[in-house]
Amino acid sequence: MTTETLPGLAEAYLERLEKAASHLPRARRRELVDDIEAHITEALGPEPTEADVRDVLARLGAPEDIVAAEQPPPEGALHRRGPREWAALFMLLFGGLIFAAIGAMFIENRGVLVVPAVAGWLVGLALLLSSPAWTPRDKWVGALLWPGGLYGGFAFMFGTFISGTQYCGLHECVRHASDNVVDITGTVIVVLVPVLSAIYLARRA
Amino acid sequence: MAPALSQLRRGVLEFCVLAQLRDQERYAFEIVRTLGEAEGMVTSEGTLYPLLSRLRKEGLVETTWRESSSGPPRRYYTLTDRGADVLDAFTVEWERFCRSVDRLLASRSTAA
Repeated sequence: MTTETLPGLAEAYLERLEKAASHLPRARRRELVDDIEAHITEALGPEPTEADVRDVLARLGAPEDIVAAEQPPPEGALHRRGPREWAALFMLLFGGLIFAAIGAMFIENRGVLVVPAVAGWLVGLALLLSSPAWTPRDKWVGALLWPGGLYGGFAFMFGTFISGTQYCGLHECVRHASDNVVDITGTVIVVLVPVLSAIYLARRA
Repeated sequence: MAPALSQLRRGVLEFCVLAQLRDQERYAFEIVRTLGEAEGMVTSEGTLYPLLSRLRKEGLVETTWRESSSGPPRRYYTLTDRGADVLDAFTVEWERFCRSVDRLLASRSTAA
């Protein structure tokens, strides 16, 4: 906005509005506050008296009433990120890795580590599915991208490296340049996808 | 009495907003002030902004940002084709409704 100096009363009013609208989606909240700010700027003119400001704000009504006139939020949007949602995101991403690391202290057979890894991810999945903060579509995204979270990503990554070594015969290793491309893009994808999916979920809650 | 009136007002408010845009585009402040100055229409001018946002989401109005000669850019509202249809349909219904209500309210003299 071009008016750098709204009167203190108006600033306080906008802050109250911002607070009252804290449950709205970020974009909508910004837009509403911007609209009201533009309204005040327009109504006040260059050098308003305190009485002018009071009059404009009185006509606007209480910030809480303005927010109450917003459409009832769609189901799920009433709940925003809380401890459970953060825990869900954390466990979806890192649960598999953490549980596998803990498992590695007790289990010799590396191949069995997938069991605690899946268990760790399932904790995240359970938190995700039980949270009212996400829509069914969000939950599908969280569950399918990527099962196992970063552990699933790393498992996939090592899988491709291992299959890469299968090209090695007894006498010479044949690795095609295209295999490296697959490995690198694969690695980027399996790390990025769970991270992006977690960011998506964090923004949707 | 008062709750019934405020229900009625809430119901017709969006059409009053649409009607402001029937022949011309306007920016939010104009719309809000016009309705704010209409007697008995809105008690809190600010509550019209959520309404404008909803009308846009429902595709009844469109907005464009336009530079203004005096101050920051303004968001102008225009009626979409669908908005115009909705407004026309409501206007017809409303006139019929008004006639009926008027007749019924006046009927005590004739019915007595």
